[in-house]
Amino acid sequence: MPGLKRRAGGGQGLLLRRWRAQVGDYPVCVCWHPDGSLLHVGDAGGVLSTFAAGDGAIVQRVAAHTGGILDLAPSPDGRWLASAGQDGCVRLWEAAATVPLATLSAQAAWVEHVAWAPDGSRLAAAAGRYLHLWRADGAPSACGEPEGSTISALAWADSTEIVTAGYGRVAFRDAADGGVRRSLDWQGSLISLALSPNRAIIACGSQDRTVHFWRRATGEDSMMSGYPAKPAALAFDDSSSLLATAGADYVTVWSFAGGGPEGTRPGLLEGHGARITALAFASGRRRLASAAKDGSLLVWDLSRSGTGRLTGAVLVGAAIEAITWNPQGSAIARIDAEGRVEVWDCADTE
Amino acid sequence: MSTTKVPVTILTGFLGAGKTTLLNRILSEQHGKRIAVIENEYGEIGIDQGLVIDADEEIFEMSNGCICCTVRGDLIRILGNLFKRRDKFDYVLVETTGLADPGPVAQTFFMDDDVHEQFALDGIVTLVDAKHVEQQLDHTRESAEQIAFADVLILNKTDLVEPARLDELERRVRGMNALAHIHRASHGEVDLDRVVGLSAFDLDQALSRKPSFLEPEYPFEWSGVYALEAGHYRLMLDDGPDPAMSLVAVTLPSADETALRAGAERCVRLYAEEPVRTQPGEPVEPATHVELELTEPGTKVFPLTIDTPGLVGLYTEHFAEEFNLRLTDAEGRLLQPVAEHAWVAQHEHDDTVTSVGIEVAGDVDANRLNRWLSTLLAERGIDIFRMKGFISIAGEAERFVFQGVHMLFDGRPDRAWGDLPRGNQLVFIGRNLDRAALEAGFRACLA
Repeated sequence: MPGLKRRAGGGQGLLLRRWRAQVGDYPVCVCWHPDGSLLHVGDAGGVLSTFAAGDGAIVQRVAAHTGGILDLAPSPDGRWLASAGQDGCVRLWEAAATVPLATLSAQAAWVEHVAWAPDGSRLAAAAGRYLHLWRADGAPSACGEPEGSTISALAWADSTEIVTAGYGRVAFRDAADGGVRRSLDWQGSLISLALSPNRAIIACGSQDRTVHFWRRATGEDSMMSGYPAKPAALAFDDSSSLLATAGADYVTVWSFAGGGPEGTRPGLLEGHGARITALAFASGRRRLASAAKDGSLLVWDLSRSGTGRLTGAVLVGAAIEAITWNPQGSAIARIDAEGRVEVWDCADTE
Repeated sequence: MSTTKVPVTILTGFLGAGKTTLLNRILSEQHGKRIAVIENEYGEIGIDQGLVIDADEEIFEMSNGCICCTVRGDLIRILGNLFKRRDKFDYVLVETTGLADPGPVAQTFFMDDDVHEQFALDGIVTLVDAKHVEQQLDHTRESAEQIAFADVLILNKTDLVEPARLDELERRVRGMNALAHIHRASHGEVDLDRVVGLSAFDLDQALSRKPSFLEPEYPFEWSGVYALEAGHYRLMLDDGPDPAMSLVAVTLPSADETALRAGAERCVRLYAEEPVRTQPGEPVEPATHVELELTEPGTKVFPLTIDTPGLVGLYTEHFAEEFNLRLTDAEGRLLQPVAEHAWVAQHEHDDTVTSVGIEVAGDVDANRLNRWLSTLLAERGIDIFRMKGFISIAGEAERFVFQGVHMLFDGRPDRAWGDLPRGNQLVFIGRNLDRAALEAGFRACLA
């Protein structure tokens, strides 16, 4: 392949495999400890595995939930890890603990999403149509009115406000009482959510193969269509100017620079052989990782307009379930359908 | 990339039709399969075994307002998660509530990329409460839709209903859905392989085995089988809706379904012959197309003589109850049939949900067919629940098979015609279908 040199470990370009490990069931979610020293993986068998980031040594393996784990979230200070599962519970774990510090019941079948407020003061979880909020010590804080249908995604806008997406709308809720402050309605099923880091734009992928976004200041909305598949993954870069979207076997990148993206052409990043399953920007830069059903993992350096240059590629493996950059933006973890957990170092461009 | 898809059966039917009993039976049977159940009716009756997941029926309509894009959001999420544990499940059963429209459930398996890649809709099984369904049909849309969508219809609770009413019911649901396999059951006792492993949506499976899938339209509506000794009998009829009625009496080797059908084939040929007009008092000739003349008011009696003891099937143009048809022995004792069968006939139903079967010889022009189908589905797709068929396209060596749910159409060439006679068979199941217009539309596509 021109411009790319094959390196040890099967990677190409800038990617070098640091280690590979295996979990016992289908891995569903992955996150780093905020200091980048540990990698946590939750699987469909309910096991929470913790690996040393440096060499992949197993640090802890614990049966965390009956049924599968659905989401993981480390607290911003790194003290706790929250896990959410099909048993209707959120559990709080201290680093390397084998028993949970607390078990928070969401009183519903599945808890699909869990997220900490940026200041760590509260924990939010989505279970069915309900948003549950707890204080950092695990005391229930609020559970507002339910949504009209299952919450498909959630994100904290700031430490006082949380955003949810679902069928029919995006809702902004008060973190203190769970009450709805604002609702952005849309007749359609919103399946993914990305909030720009400057909190000015809310973008959602929709079941009907479109991406819908709102400018928060004005409430104006726009729709981007033409996706061959549902855009289940979305990612904003740190500057809030680039939105990468899945929904095809290429990545579509919209630039919000200038007056865009309305009336502009998106950057199209081609190189995967199957549908994109995961997208992630490295912190502090316009470096995007994209992963697909064919096991490919590509790393791109993007321009301000959203065009991209391929800087690294791993083209082998099983369908990628999730990817995540380490906090330093120097390594990327991926989990795949065959239970593999891998960390790839991503060297800097000269 | 391609892996075996996990088969999914949709189990539908009104509350009380016996879904939970059937589910429990399926789960407890020793079939060696690991089955996951996605159910909607919380706390109705507990399911004994297996993984059971509660779901809200979340209907996702799309911003474009297209009904065929409507899917079940809860199923997408649950199946997505189940797939990740797929090594633990061989089969998935989705139970829907009595008031559910099966359309969005079925469409989920074609419209959602992930679900479509990982799961294959195996079939839609509708349980019908034989005792209450007629009331339900009269009062709800959903009941008719559930019958219309079904690949398998189980008339359950047959023990609570008179056989004659069951026949009437079977005729009625057959008129609504000409494609479904109909089974009768009490207490949900149905062979498992009639419910799962149907491959009803698999074009390779569904149509390729059979050269014909349309039920032949018989010239008779009813048959009754009587076990008779040698001797003299009297066939009696009261006043009925018509001045005459055709009948064929044939001997049968047994009273089971196979023998009845074989007898039916013989009778079809006999019915094609000129009838022997028979006045009251004149004997019924065996194995002959007779036309009983019924203009005289009051009870009409036709003697029937049996030489060798055995089973005799009476294949009658109309239903026995329409003329209060009965058979007595020489002493006037009323005889009960040992078996009865209602045949699919051109029977008038007032149901708005019906099946239209079209069988036409000849080849069709591919372009005209394409235009006709596109227009038809665009205009009438909402009312067409299911369709299936095969088509002989001019210039193509292979049979073209297709099936559809609402506006979703799936079709492709299947196997070479070879020695088989080329021809076309199509069945539409839907609401307010215009048979004449459909047939004319299709005929206009002939090359």
